Amino acid sequence: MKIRVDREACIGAGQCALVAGSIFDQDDEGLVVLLDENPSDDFVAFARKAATLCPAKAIALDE
Amino acid sequence: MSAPEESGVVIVGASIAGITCAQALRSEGYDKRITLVGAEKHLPYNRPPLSKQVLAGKWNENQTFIDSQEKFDELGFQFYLEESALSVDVAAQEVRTDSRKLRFDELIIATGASARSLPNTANFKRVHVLRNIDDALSLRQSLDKAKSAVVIGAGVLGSEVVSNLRERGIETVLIDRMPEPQLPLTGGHFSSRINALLEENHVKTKFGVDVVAVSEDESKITFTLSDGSTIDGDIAVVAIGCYPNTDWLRDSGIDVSNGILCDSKGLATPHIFAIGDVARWTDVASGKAMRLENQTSAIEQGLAVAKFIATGDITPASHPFFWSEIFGNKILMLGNLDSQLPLTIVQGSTSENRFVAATIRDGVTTGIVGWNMPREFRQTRSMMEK
Repeated sequence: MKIRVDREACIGAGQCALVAGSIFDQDDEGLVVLLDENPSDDFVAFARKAATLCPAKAIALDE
Repeated sequence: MSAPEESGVVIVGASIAGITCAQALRSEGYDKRITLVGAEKHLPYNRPPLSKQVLAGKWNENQTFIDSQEKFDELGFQFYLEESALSVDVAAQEVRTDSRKLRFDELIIATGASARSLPNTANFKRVHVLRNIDDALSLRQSLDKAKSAVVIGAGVLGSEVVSNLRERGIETVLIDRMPEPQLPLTGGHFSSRINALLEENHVKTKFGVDVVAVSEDESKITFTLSDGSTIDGDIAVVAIGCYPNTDWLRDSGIDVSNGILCDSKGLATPHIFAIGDVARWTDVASGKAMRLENQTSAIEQGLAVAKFIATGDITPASHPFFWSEIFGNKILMLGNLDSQLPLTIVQGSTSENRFVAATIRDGVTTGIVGWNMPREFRQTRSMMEK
């Protein structure tokens, strides 16, 4: 699985960093920073959860 | 009309709540038929960017679509778009649309809400609302020519629109019947801050007045206000809230007074759920039922109902959340700020225009706002869990 993030769409709600802190972080503006674009299978469920909860739909998963 | 089709879950409404629920049903292991009925011609799209990136011209409309037809096909969703539900027979577990009858094991109502307009303006060419993709594109097009605009409604949508108009250099008047601008869930704590932003950005305001008459001609639209003044502009944007789309349920026996009354799991009546802007879920703690008109609640209600249908598990309620960007200020709001309590500054400072603030009643945090401090806002969210 590969993760893409759209920093133009990101509104800095931080839902992703909240549910998947090993994959997503926020910069000083609060915008999403992708820490791991190919998470291991153990973390795929967290990435999926982050994508679902993102209120700006700024996270895409290519599975 | 075609013959009734095989049952499964029928979702009426193909916007964020409906599509989130459909996708979650599959990820929770639901393997029966999932049918989505959508009144608009578009596949599911995201509404919040309409008044932000799309209106500003930074995005084209395709960037708002949630997923592709191929993705939905893989999940086995049957879409009936540009099709409106007309009625539901609760006992027979059947929905009638303008083209067919659909039997359901479970029905999920996600028909959303429609923008309120001003009376007697239905045929006006200069009046816009902003709810759908088509609204946003039509408004954006007229903004390219407009030099002046009148915005009715100083809520979050009206404020976003006004900040967009000013960025384009359009002369703007903002009118509201309330004495002050209001952001939802904020308990009025930011009215003076918004007022200051409006002033700084040269927005003329008329607050505490009603619109008593509207007229338009070839060159302008004119509003007559209850204080006797008149305001005109090239175009007008009406942002005075929404009403739930429940008209089609009037003979169903379901309680639709200000949205579909549901229990805390989203059940309106056995086998019929409601989610998103159309739904009024009961809060277990307070016993009160209210519509939560925001994207995050729509998503979370969709997830909760999917989980309940697929597994029987109940999801605890979460706090309402909204975000906005007004004159470049990033505002994040979780829970409810209490209008009776002072704001406690948790991080940053109001004078620097960057802060996280909360209202705290008897040691319990009722709401948190992040003002230009998104990361600190996230780090503070755990206050709400205590």
